Amino acid sequence: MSDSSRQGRASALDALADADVAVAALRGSADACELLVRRFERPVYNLIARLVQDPSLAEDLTQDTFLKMFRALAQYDPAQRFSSWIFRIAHNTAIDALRVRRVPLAVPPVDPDGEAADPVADLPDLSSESPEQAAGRRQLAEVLDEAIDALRPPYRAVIVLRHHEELDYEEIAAIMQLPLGTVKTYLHRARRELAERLRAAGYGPSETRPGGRP
Amino acid sequence: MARTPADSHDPVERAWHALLRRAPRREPPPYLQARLLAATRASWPAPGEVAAVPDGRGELVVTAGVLAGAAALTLAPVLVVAALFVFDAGIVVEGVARTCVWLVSWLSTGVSVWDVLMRAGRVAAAAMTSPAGTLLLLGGTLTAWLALVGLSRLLPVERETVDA
Repeated sequence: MSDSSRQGRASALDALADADVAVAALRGSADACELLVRRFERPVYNLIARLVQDPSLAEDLTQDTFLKMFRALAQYDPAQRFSSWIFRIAHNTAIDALRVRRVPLAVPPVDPDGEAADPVADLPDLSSESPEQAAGRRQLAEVLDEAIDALRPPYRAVIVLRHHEELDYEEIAAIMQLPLGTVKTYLHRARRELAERLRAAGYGPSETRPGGRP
Repeated sequence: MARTPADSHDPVERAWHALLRRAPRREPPPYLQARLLAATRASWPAPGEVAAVPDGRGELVVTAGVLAGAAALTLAPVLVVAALFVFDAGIVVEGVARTCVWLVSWLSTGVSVWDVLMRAGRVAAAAMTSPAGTLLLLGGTLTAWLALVGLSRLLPVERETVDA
């Protein structure tokens, strides 16, 4: 088999949607299997590393996730989004590891009616971009990074899935095996805690300018 | 309709998304991809074993298979009992034992019995959780319930007979 024909097949696969690549992998295409690893290595590692907060463990769990994924590929339903399916495996793998390490996973009971509105007024205004604010933005990124790490694991998961992976609520609910209302509540609480931490770090309400401290 | 944060019409959602997408991602080390490829290669589906992609027709076939299996399992004891009326008990017991031995050796030809049982269990579970399987299960439950209702009508008569 020539390298050029292999490259041709690989580039044809590149154009396919994730579910189609998964079907090709299921039919025995090694290129498709490789592509699945290349496509999902970063997002899977990002989710797991955020959850377990240990780079070395995250590498092992990412490997476990891909092994589980390939072994269970015959059970994948192409009508379902592949990303949701693999994130569900990754999430379960990370949660199992946290349980083994006895990391507390419980969150206060959900009361959808008792949750206040999203604390948007506390957000730094990021609507404008100016070069002089670059340093401040880097600092903000560091504060955000620490603030996300300080959240409870389920809140970290919803933040990563919603804002890094840009998934909709239904997909997040399917991945975390939670009711839709609970996902929304977790997201709301996560944002409230983030707003508090940002405020404590000096990134105050709307009068604060982008990336700058008051 | 559910939306991704980037598509959302909600200004609060968009503001949070604008902020949180700036949070750094956890990046995998450069060697991880090679490690994942090497570690998972043995688990990649082989070109020879074309796995069935689930579809409606496959589901019906699986359901029909489970139904036929269930019917065979139900009829087997009836046939054994019926045979007792025709043949000598010793011959029937010997026949049943020979059939069991043949079945086990047939199932284990080239494969592990446990593997066969595991696959059969998976297929049965898939069929039971499919819409057609659920319908059959509900039908069976309803029939059993009706049978129980019928029996409960007969039981008082039986009790009266015993009391008498």
